[in-house]
Amino acid sequence: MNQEKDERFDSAAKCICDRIEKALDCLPGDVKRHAQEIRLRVNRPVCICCSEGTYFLSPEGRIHCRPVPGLLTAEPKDMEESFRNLCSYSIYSHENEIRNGYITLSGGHRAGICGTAVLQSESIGSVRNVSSINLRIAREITGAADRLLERLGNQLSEGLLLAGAPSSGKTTILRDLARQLACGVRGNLKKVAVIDERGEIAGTYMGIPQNDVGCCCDVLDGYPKAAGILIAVRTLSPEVILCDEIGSEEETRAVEQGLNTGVIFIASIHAGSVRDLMRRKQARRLLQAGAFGNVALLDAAHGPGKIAGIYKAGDLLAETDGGAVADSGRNARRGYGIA
Amino acid sequence: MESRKLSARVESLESFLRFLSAAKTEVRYSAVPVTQVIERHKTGLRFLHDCVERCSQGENFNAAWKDAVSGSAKYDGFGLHDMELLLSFGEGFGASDTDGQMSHLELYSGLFGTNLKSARDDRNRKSKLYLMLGIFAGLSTALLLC
Repeated sequence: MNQEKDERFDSAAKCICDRIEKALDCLPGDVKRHAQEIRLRVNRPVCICCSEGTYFLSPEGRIHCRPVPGLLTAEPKDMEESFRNLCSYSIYSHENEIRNGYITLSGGHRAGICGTAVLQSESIGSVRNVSSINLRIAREITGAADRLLERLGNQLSEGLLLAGAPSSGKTTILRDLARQLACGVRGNLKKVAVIDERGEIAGTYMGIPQNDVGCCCDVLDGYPKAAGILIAVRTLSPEVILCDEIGSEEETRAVEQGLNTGVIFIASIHAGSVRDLMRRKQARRLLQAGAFGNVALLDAAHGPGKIAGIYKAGDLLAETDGGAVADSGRNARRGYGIA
Repeated sequence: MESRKLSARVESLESFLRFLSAAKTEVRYSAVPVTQVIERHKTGLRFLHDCVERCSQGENFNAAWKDAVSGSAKYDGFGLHDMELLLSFGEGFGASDTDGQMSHLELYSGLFGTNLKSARDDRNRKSKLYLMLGIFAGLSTALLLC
């Protein structure tokens, strides 16, 4: 049996039930290194998603490009065991996450889950009969933000919005940006606050960040983004605030409030294209408020972390509705950037 | 010997009830996973130490709890009925949301409380009897030998 090791893949696979973990353990090292997601669907074959495509797993740990007979399928008891294992056998400690459709795991991995919703007064109270698990493997790539910073001329003083489709590498780049800023890799050290609502950026486990986010970085683990931004501004005196997947009304308001204190915001948002981005009301509002001077669009089609383009917020607004970007006063102090 | 067993059972049940009470607080206010709840409040009970040890070696909580109860609970002085109760407690521990866990812990506090009451009655009724039996047996043996 081939049992090549890949620390990240193996730590994620460990969270799945024993039967499937054994088969995953036998995968070739190359597949383990390139795997982005492990997908379990009840009574369906186990899939491994890589940037090159989706593969199906056999019980012996071999991979197939097509769903052929004899593949390893996730049985209901595997789903149940995997779900309990993902929750560390403590469903109560992941209650809110389950309601929001995910479970954060040690090492910064994240399992998306779906099943039958249990409704409580019109909102999702819980999920039963979990039918799909999408285990996303968190990869820490040192230097993932290098290309982006080079293209920005090491200037982040106007704020940056990272837009991209799912699995385009937004979180990986954010994590590396946090590290580079908080370690002063390309200039002065910055006091960075990471609002890590889903625990994906720092991968905090038992209070200790599992990923390197730099020596001057404060991690607000599990805080809702809106509350986290306000707490960070009030208590941690950050120079830069980083957060993942921004977009709700409440979060937009919190960013606007933080903006008035002179903090630089770096955030990510789901958008497959500039058009998608500008269709989002909250994104437009943030750009108009001057929260992000630059927008970097990631290109999921060419692999995680690839940059499709960098745009000035003002240009995007002018193109879409002729709107003008507010002057947040940041252009007057460009020296505040990391260079 | 038998008298000491009765006392050990009472002490272990009291310890486990203290653990259940601490677990209620942990689940409600810190929401830490079950292994950490046990790690923090395992004092005195050998089977809880064993369970933590097994979990740290990579065994999943359900299997670790079952093995620890089957393997070590008897050394803590738990009786067969107590062990059955411990096993069924382990099956539900961590398997539901906070409200569910509160009800679960409440239920088992009641059940173990009943066991503790009967263990105390047993100890009060039988420990003196066993002690006297021991003394008389000793005296009889001494007389026979003389």
